[in-house]
Amino acid sequence: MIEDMLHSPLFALVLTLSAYKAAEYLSDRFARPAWLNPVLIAILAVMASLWALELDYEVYFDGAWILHFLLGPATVALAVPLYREARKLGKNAMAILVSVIIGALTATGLALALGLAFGLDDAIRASLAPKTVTTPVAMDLADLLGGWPSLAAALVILAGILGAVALPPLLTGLGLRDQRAQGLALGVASHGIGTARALQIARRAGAYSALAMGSSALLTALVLPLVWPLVSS
Amino acid sequence: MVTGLLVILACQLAGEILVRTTGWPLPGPVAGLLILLVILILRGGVPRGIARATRPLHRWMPLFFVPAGAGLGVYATQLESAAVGLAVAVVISTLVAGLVTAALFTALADTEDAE
Repeated sequence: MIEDMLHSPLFALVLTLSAYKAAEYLSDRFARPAWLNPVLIAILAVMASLWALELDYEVYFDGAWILHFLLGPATVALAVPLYREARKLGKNAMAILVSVIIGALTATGLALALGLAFGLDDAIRASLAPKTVTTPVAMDLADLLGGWPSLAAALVILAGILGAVALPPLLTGLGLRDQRAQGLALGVASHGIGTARALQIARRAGAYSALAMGSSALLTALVLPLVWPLVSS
Repeated sequence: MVTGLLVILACQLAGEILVRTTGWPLPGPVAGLLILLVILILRGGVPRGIARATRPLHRWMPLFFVPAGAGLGVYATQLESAAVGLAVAVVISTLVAGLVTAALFTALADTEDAE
Protein backbone atom coordinates (compact mmCIF):
# COMPACT_ATOMS: atom_id res chain seq x y z
CA MET A 1 0.00 0.00 0.00
CA ILE A 2 2.64 2.52 1.07
CA GLU A 3 4.86 1.13 -1.68
CA ASP A 4 2.15 2.01 -4.25
CA MET A 5 1.94 5.56 -2.91
CA LEU A 6 5.72 6.02 -3.15
CA HIS A 7 5.57 4.96 -6.80
CA SER A 8 2.74 7.33 -7.70
CA PRO A 9 3.11 10.62 -9.63
CA LEU A 10 1.48 12.26 -6.61
CA PHE A 11 4.44 11.35 -4.42
CA ALA A 12 6.99 12.34 -7.08
CA LEU A 13 5.34 15.77 -7.46
CA VAL A 14 5.01 16.36 -3.71
CA LEU A 15 8.65 15.33 -3.22
CA THR A 16 9.91 17.61 -6.03
CA LEU A 17 7.82 20.63 -5.05
CA SER A 18 8.64 20.36 -1.35
CA ALA A 19 12.35 19.90 -2.11
CA TYR A 20 12.22 23.00 -4.30
CA LYS A 21 10.24 25.11 -1.82
CA ALA A 22 12.57 24.05 1.01
CA ALA A 23 15.59 24.93 -1.16
CA GLU A 24 14.09 28.33 -1.99
CA TYR A 25 13.32 28.98 1.65
CA LEU A 26 16.88 28.05 2.62
CA SER A 27 18.30 30.23 -0.15
CA ASP A 28 16.13 33.21 0.86
CA ARG A 29 17.08 32.80 4.50
CA PHE A 30 20.74 33.24 3.69
CA ALA A 31 20.06 36.17 1.34
CA ARG A 32 20.50 34.02 -1.80
CA PRO A 33 24.25 33.43 -2.01
CA ALA A 34 25.23 31.95 -5.40
CA TRP A 35 26.41 28.61 -3.98
CA LEU A 36 23.01 27.98 -2.37
CA ASN A 37 21.44 27.62 -5.80
CA PRO A 38 17.85 26.37 -5.28
CA VAL A 39 18.13 23.97 -8.25
CA LEU A 40 21.27 22.39 -6.84
CA ILE A 41 19.84 22.02 -3.31
CA ALA A 42 16.52 20.67 -4.63
CA ILE A 43 18.28 18.12 -6.85
CA LEU A 44 20.48 16.93 -3.97
CA ALA A 45 17.42 16.71 -1.69
CA VAL A 46 15.50 14.62 -4.25
CA MET A 47 18.53 12.35 -4.80
CA ALA A 48 18.95 11.89 -1.05
CA SER A 49 15.24 11.12 -0.62
CA LEU A 50 15.26 8.53 -3.42
CA TRP A 51 18.31 6.90 -1.86
CA ALA A 52 16.84 6.89 1.66
CA LEU A 53 13.50 5.44 0.46
CA GLU A 54 15.25 2.99 -1.91
CA LEU A 55 13.22 4.29 -4.84
CA ASP A 56 14.14 3.77 -8.47
CA TYR A 57 15.08 6.96 -10.33
CA GLU A 58 13.12 5.82 -13.42
CA VAL A 59 9.95 5.44 -11.34
CA TYR A 60 10.44 8.88 -9.80
CA PHE A 61 11.09 10.48 -13.20
CA ASP A 62 7.94 8.93 -14.71
CA GLY A 63 5.97 10.51 -11.86
CA ALA A 64 7.63 13.94 -12.04
CA TRP A 65 7.59 13.93 -15.85
CA ILE A 66 4.98 16.70 -16.14
CA LEU A 67 7.43 19.19 -14.53
CA HIS A 68 10.16 18.11 -16.97
CA PHE A 69 7.66 18.55 -19.82
CA LEU A 70 7.03 22.19 -18.84
CA LEU A 71 10.64 22.95 -19.86
CA GLY A 72 9.37 22.82 -23.45
CA PRO A 73 6.75 25.60 -23.20
CA ALA A 74 9.10 27.57 -20.90
CA THR A 75 11.73 27.42 -23.67
CA VAL A 76 9.21 28.48 -26.33
CA ALA A 77 8.08 31.37 -24.10
CA LEU A 78 11.66 32.69 -24.00
CA ALA A 79 10.63 34.33 -27.27
CA VAL A 80 8.81 36.94 -25.14
CA PRO A 81 11.80 38.45 -23.25
CA LEU A 82 13.88 37.85 -26.39
CA TYR A 83 11.46 39.88 -28.53
CA ARG A 84 11.21 42.68 -25.96
CA GLU A 85 14.99 42.96 -25.72
CA ALA A 86 15.73 42.38 -29.40
CA ARG A 87 13.87 45.62 -30.23
CA LYS A 88 16.43 47.52 -28.15
CA LEU A 89 19.56 45.73 -29.36
CA GLY A 90 20.26 47.90 -32.41
CA LYS A 91 23.74 49.30 -32.18
CA ASN A 92 25.13 46.44 -30.07
CA ALA A 93 23.92 43.65 -32.37
CA MET A 94 27.41 43.04 -33.77
CA ALA A 95 29.00 42.91 -30.30
CA ILE A 96 26.38 40.37 -29.20
CA LEU A 97 26.75 38.23 -32.30
CA VAL A 98 30.56 38.12 -32.12
CA SER A 99 30.72 37.38 -28.39
CA VAL A 100 28.05 34.66 -28.57
CA ILE A 101 29.62 32.93 -31.60
CA ILE A 102 33.15 32.97 -30.14
CA GLY A 103 31.82 31.99 -26.70
CA ALA A 104 29.82 29.02 -28.05
CA LEU A 105 32.76 27.80 -30.15
CA THR A 106 35.04 28.11 -27.10
CA ALA A 107 32.63 26.05 -24.96
CA THR A 108 32.34 23.19 -27.45
CA GLY A 109 35.94 23.34 -28.70
CA LEU A 110 37.43 23.26 -25.18
CA ALA A 111 35.13 20.40 -24.14
CA LEU A 112 36.24 18.37 -27.18
CA ALA A 113 39.94 19.18 -26.67
CA LEU A 114 39.92 18.41 -22.93
CA GLY A 115 37.97 15.20 -23.56
CA LEU A 116 40.70 14.10 -25.99
CA ALA A 117 43.46 15.16 -23.57
CA PHE A 118 41.93 12.99 -20.85
CA GLY A 119 41.54 10.04 -23.24
CA LEU A 120 37.76 9.83 -22.91
CA ASP A 121 36.15 7.48 -25.44
CA ASP A 122 33.99 8.65 -28.33
CA ALA A 123 30.61 7.90 -26.73
CA ILE A 124 31.51 9.90 -23.62
CA ARG A 125 32.94 12.80 -25.62
CA ALA A 126 29.84 12.83 -27.85
CA SER A 127 27.79 13.26 -24.67
CA LEU A 128 30.18 15.91 -23.33
CA ALA A 129 30.56 18.11 -26.43
CA PRO A 130 27.02 19.61 -26.42
CA LYS A 131 26.98 20.21 -22.64
CA THR A 132 26.56 24.00 -22.82
CA VAL A 133 23.50 23.62 -25.07
CA THR A 134 19.95 23.57 -23.75
CA THR A 135 18.95 20.04 -22.57
CA PRO A 136 16.66 18.84 -25.40
CA VAL A 137 19.13 20.00 -28.08
CA ALA A 138 22.07 18.44 -26.27
CA MET A 139 20.27 15.09 -25.98
CA ASP A 140 19.43 15.13 -29.70
CA LEU A 141 23.00 16.08 -30.59
CA ALA A 142 24.52 13.37 -28.36
CA ASP A 143 22.22 10.82 -29.99
CA LEU A 144 23.21 12.00 -33.46
CA LEU A 145 26.94 11.71 -32.66
CA GLY A 146 26.68 8.25 -31.08
CA GLY A 147 26.75 9.36 -27.45
CA TRP A 148 24.32 8.73 -24.58
CA PRO A 149 21.45 11.26 -24.41
CA SER A 150 20.97 10.59 -20.70
CA LEU A 151 24.62 11.35 -19.86
CA ALA A 152 24.42 14.45 -22.05
CA ALA A 153 21.40 15.63 -20.03
CA ALA A 154 23.29 15.07 -16.78
CA LEU A 155 26.36 16.98 -18.00
CA VAL A 156 24.20 19.80 -19.38
CA ILE A 157 22.65 20.23 -15.95
CA LEU A 158 26.07 20.05 -14.30
CA ALA A 159 27.38 22.81 -16.59
CA GLY A 160 24.17 24.76 -15.97
CA ILE A 161 24.43 24.61 -12.20
CA LEU A 162 28.17 25.32 -12.26
CA GLY A 163 27.78 28.40 -14.45
CA ALA A 164 24.73 29.66 -12.54
CA VAL A 165 26.57 29.27 -9.22
CA ALA A 166 30.07 30.39 -10.22
CA LEU A 167 29.79 32.77 -13.17
CA PRO A 168 28.03 35.80 -11.63
CA PRO A 169 30.50 36.16 -8.71
CA LEU A 170 33.47 35.27 -10.96
CA LEU A 171 32.54 37.87 -13.59
CA THR A 172 31.73 40.51 -10.98
CA GLY A 173 35.04 39.79 -9.26
CA LEU A 174 36.87 40.35 -12.54
CA GLY A 175 35.14 43.68 -13.09
CA LEU A 176 32.71 42.40 -15.76
CA ARG A 177 29.65 43.87 -14.04
CA ASP A 178 27.52 44.78 -17.07
CA GLN A 179 24.19 42.95 -16.68
CA ARG A 180 24.05 42.40 -20.44
CA ALA A 181 27.52 40.79 -20.50
CA GLN A 182 26.63 38.55 -17.52
CA GLY A 183 23.37 37.54 -19.20
CA LEU A 184 25.15 36.61 -22.44
CA ALA A 185 27.81 34.61 -20.54
CA LEU A 186 25.14 32.72 -18.55
CA GLY A 187 23.19 31.93 -21.72
CA VAL A 188 26.23 30.69 -23.63
CA ALA A 189 27.78 28.68 -20.78
CA SER A 190 24.72 27.54 -18.82
CA HIS A 191 21.66 27.54 -21.16
CA GLY A 192 18.30 27.39 -19.33
CA ILE A 193 19.66 27.13 -15.79
CA GLY A 194 21.88 30.13 -16.51
CA THR A 195 18.92 31.98 -18.00
CA ALA A 196 16.84 31.26 -14.91
CA ARG A 197 19.72 32.70 -12.83
CA ALA A 198 20.02 35.69 -15.17
CA LEU A 199 16.28 36.41 -14.78
CA GLN A 200 16.96 36.70 -11.03
CA ILE A 201 19.66 39.31 -11.69
CA ALA A 202 17.43 41.43 -13.93
CA ARG A 203 14.81 40.96 -16.65
CA ARG A 204 17.33 42.49 -19.05
CA ALA A 205 20.04 39.98 -18.14
CA GLY A 206 17.42 37.25 -18.66
CA ALA A 207 16.61 38.52 -22.14
CA TYR A 208 20.29 38.66 -23.13
CA SER A 209 20.74 35.19 -21.65
CA ALA A 210 17.77 33.86 -23.64
CA LEU A 211 19.20 35.44 -26.77
CA ALA A 212 22.61 33.87 -26.13
CA MET A 213 21.09 30.48 -25.23
CA GLY A 214 18.94 30.35 -28.35
CA SER A 215 21.59 31.50 -30.79
CA SER A 216 24.40 29.40 -29.29
CA ALA A 217 22.15 26.29 -29.32
CA LEU A 218 21.35 26.94 -32.97
CA LEU A 219 25.03 27.54 -33.84
CA THR A 220 26.21 24.43 -31.97
CA ALA A 221 23.49 22.29 -33.56
CA LEU A 222 24.60 23.47 -36.99
CA VAL A 223 28.38 23.26 -36.47
CA LEU A 224 29.04 20.33 -34.10
CA PRO A 225 27.75 17.51 -36.38
CA LEU A 226 30.04 18.82 -39.15
CA VAL A 227 33.15 19.01 -36.94
CA TRP A 228 32.57 15.73 -35.10
CA PRO A 229 33.94 13.35 -37.83
CA LEU A 230 37.28 15.21 -37.65
CA VAL A 231 37.73 14.67 -33.90
CA SER A 232 36.32 11.16 -33.40
CA SER A 233 38.06 7.89 -34.12
CA MET B 1 -3.83 32.97 -19.77
CA VAL B 2 -5.32 29.82 -21.34
CA THR B 3 -5.20 31.45 -24.78
CA GLY B 4 -1.56 32.39 -24.20
CA LEU B 5 -0.69 28.88 -23.07
CA LEU B 6 -2.50 27.48 -26.11
CA VAL B 7 -0.44 29.70 -28.44
CA ILE B 8 2.80 28.66 -26.71
CA LEU B 9 1.95 24.94 -26.87
CA ALA B 10 0.81 25.27 -30.49
CA CYS B 11 4.14 26.91 -31.35
CA GLN B 12 5.97 24.03 -29.66
CA LEU B 13 3.88 21.49 -31.58
CA ALA B 14 4.49 23.31 -34.86
CA GLY B 15 8.21 23.39 -34.02
CA GLU B 16 8.24 19.63 -33.34
CA ILE B 17 6.47 18.95 -36.63
CA LEU B 18 8.83 21.27 -38.50
CA VAL B 19 12.04 19.65 -37.22
CA ARG B 20 10.68 16.13 -37.65
CA THR B 21 9.57 16.66 -41.23
CA THR B 22 12.72 18.50 -42.30
CA GLY B 23 15.17 16.36 -40.27
CA TRP B 24 16.86 19.58 -39.15
CA PRO B 25 18.92 18.79 -36.01
CA LEU B 26 17.19 21.41 -33.88
CA PRO B 27 15.03 20.62 -30.84
CA GLY B 28 11.30 21.23 -31.23
CA PRO B 29 11.09 23.81 -28.40
CA VAL B 30 13.84 25.94 -29.99
CA ALA B 31 12.03 25.79 -33.34
CA GLY B 32 8.85 26.73 -31.41
CA LEU B 33 10.70 29.69 -29.88
CA LEU B 34 11.61 30.89 -33.37
CA ILE B 35 7.99 30.48 -34.56
CA LEU B 36 6.63 32.45 -31.57
CA LEU B 37 9.28 35.10 -32.18
CA VAL B 38 8.11 35.48 -35.80
CA ILE B 39 4.49 35.79 -34.58
CA LEU B 40 5.48 38.53 -32.08
CA ILE B 41 7.44 40.40 -34.75
CA LEU B 42 4.52 40.19 -37.22
CA ARG B 43 2.08 41.40 -34.53
CA GLY B 44 4.48 44.13 -33.44
CA GLY B 45 3.94 43.45 -29.73
CA VAL B 46 3.34 40.84 -27.03
CA PRO B 47 -0.40 39.99 -26.63
CA ARG B 48 -1.48 40.16 -23.00
CA GLY B 49 -2.49 36.48 -22.83
CA ILE B 50 0.97 35.34 -23.94
CA ALA B 51 2.66 37.69 -21.47
CA ARG B 52 0.46 36.28 -18.67
CA ALA B 53 1.22 32.66 -19.56
CA THR B 54 4.93 33.42 -19.82
CA ARG B 55 5.33 34.84 -16.32
CA PRO B 56 4.68 31.63 -14.28
CA LEU B 57 6.62 29.50 -16.78
CA HIS B 58 9.72 31.63 -16.20
CA ARG B 59 9.12 32.15 -12.50
CA TRP B 60 9.20 28.36 -12.03
CA MET B 61 11.67 27.39 -14.75
CA PRO B 62 14.38 26.32 -12.25
CA LEU B 63 11.88 23.83 -10.76
CA PHE B 64 11.43 22.15 -14.14
CA PHE B 65 15.11 21.12 -14.17
CA VAL B 66 14.89 19.13 -10.93
CA PRO B 67 13.49 15.78 -12.26
CA ALA B 68 16.21 15.47 -14.95
CA GLY B 69 18.86 16.82 -12.59
CA ALA B 70 18.20 14.13 -10.00
CA GLY B 71 19.34 11.61 -12.65
CA LEU B 72 22.93 12.69 -12.01
CA GLY B 73 23.13 10.04 -9.30
CA VAL B 74 22.40 7.24 -11.78
CA TYR B 75 25.59 7.88 -13.76
CA ALA B 76 27.89 8.47 -10.81
CA THR B 77 28.81 4.79 -10.47
CA GLN B 78 28.91 3.99 -14.21
CA LEU B 79 31.44 6.69 -15.02
CA GLU B 80 34.02 6.37 -12.30
CA SER B 81 37.03 6.05 -14.62
CA ALA B 82 35.97 9.03 -16.75
CA ALA B 83 34.81 11.16 -13.81
CA VAL B 84 37.95 13.27 -13.35
CA GLY B 85 38.32 14.05 -17.06
CA LEU B 86 34.63 14.85 -17.37
CA ALA B 87 34.64 17.09 -14.31
CA VAL B 88 37.73 19.03 -15.44
CA ALA B 89 36.37 19.40 -19.00
CA VAL B 90 32.97 20.61 -17.78
CA VAL B 91 34.40 23.07 -15.25
CA ILE B 92 37.07 24.61 -17.49
CA SER B 93 35.08 24.79 -20.74
CA THR B 94 32.00 26.22 -19.01
CA LEU B 95 33.80 28.93 -17.04
CA VAL B 96 36.21 29.90 -19.83
CA ALA B 97 33.33 30.11 -22.36
CA GLY B 98 31.39 32.39 -20.00
CA LEU B 99 34.45 34.57 -19.39
CA VAL B 100 35.26 34.86 -23.10
CA THR B 101 31.66 35.81 -23.91
CA ALA B 102 31.38 38.47 -21.18
CA ALA B 103 34.85 39.92 -21.86
CA LEU B 104 34.31 40.11 -25.63
CA PHE B 105 30.92 41.80 -25.25
CA THR B 106 32.29 44.28 -22.70
CA ALA B 107 35.15 45.12 -25.05
CA LEU B 108 32.95 45.53 -28.13
CA ALA B 109 29.68 47.03 -26.81
CA ASP B 110 28.68 50.56 -26.09
CA THR B 111 29.25 51.27 -22.42
CA GLU B 112 26.89 54.26 -22.28
CA ASP B 113 23.75 52.37 -21.36
CA ALA B 114 25.41 49.74 -19.18
CA GLU B 115 23.59 48.93 -15.90
